[in-house]
Amino acid sequence: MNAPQPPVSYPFSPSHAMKFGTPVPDMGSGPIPAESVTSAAYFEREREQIFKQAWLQVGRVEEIPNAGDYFTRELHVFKSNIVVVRGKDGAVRAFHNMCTHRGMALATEACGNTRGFTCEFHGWGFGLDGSLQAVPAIESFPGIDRSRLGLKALACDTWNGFIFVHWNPQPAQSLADFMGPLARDMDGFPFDQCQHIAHYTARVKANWKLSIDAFQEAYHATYLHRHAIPGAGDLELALPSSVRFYGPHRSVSCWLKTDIQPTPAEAIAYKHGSFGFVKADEGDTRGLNPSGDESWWFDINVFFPNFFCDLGRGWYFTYNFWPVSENDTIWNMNIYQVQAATAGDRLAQEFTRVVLRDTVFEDMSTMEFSQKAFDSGVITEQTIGDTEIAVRHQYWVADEWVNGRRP
Amino acid sequence: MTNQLPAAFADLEPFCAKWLRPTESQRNQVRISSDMAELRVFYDAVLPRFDAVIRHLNQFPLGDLPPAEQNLLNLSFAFVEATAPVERFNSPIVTKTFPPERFLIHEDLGRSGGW
Ligand code: FES
Ligand SMILES: [Fe+2]
Repeated sequence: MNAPQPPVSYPFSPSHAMKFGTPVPDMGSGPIPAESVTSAAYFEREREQIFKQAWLQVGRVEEIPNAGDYFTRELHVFKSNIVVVRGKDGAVRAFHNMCTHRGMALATEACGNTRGFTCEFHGWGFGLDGSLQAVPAIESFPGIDRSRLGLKALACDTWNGFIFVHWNPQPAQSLADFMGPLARDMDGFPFDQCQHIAHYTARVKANWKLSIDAFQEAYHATYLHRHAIPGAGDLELALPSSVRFYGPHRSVSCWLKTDIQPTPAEAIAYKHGSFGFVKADEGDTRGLNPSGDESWWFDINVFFPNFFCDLGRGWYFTYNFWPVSENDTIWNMNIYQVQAATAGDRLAQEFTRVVLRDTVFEDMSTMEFSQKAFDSGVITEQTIGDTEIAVRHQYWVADEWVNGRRP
Repeated sequence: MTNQLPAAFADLEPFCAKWLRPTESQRNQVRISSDMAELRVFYDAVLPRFDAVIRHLNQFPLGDLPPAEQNLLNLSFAFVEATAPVERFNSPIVTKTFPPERFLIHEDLGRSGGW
């Protein structure tokens, strides 16, 4: 890693400056070549050097509360389907969903509860801990060593109820070490008091990093979100209030113009309930606003390579970006809110769901056009401004990992 | 036809046939398949009643609403959906949008995460 530079701040206007809460790595300053979002060869290196070297978020513990509960996930980037299961001992484990006999899938449903996995092909039986327990006509396999034929495991660990897996069953770095101080900044947030209120997916014809870019800078909010978020048509809204870098991860706090006006319907809901998306002036602040920004709305927290956990007062949402190829990505969003106490709270929250969803429709309207432009070879580089520094950080980190120089 | 809403909100009864839907994806579908005139009629009818609706619903425990109140809450969710075209976009769908038919709204809440 290059020598960190001292924190600086950008005085964009008399009332607003962008602060850095951590040292800023030396990431260069020129345009970013488009090759890393168009090249199939580069993507193959990302598969090996990034996705097989990082902890990846695949679910939440509430999905599998009881022993034997499991879910499966298609991980194209691993060319694998995985099954995540809670054992009799309460531990959460992850396995490649592949029989060690001749490769049939063991769990063929998206989720369920089971006492073990019995392969539909020839009936081999595996325990919830992955051990091979039963082989029909075992005498026909002379010399078979069952202890070597357990399910192929991935490393699996949790943070605040989020389940992560790692390709390497014995990764060099623990999940806690990988997530580092960014996760510790967020630890106080009441994740365990939140309720899952929305789930969206889309398959996008765009590179995974390019897709991420649409969600990690605020520069576009001024223009792109002028309809979904009235009042966004003011340059100051588009300025991050603070930015932090934590190894490969990054965090951007967005600020809220204090005079932003709720719509007539929102104003009525906010009289009776809290936790609206654009209502940031009260409530629990644990795990939020790590740089203590004076005017603060929410934090965009990006765990490299593909997991967002954005936190606001009374709500949070997550994104996962799952690459299929260099220009094909599955986008996955979940929204969670603090359990509503009254219908008034619930209706105020409904504005979070609808406004956020409509805002995301706008975010996603751009990325396939950008991908086409880069694939065409006409536009060969991205020109990045200082408020888009998270974009620069992503390409820099990805390139360091791809080239074996993990910062 | 039997009433679906609490008696005090009988004036909103005519909107139930179109707008009373139990899920987010169904409410969004009704929104984006309506024209602006239909959206405005619904919005104009509910907006002046929204305060009274919330005050009425707040008298009941949220997790255990009687059927008529649950219907009123679901109709209110549809109202929130309908505020977006009227108050923000002047268009049933998001003006600059990702194709809605490729944007999947799942109803597997609590299970989360699958894709
Ligand atoms: S492939 Fe599973 S038992 Fe043969
Ligand atoms: Fe955005």
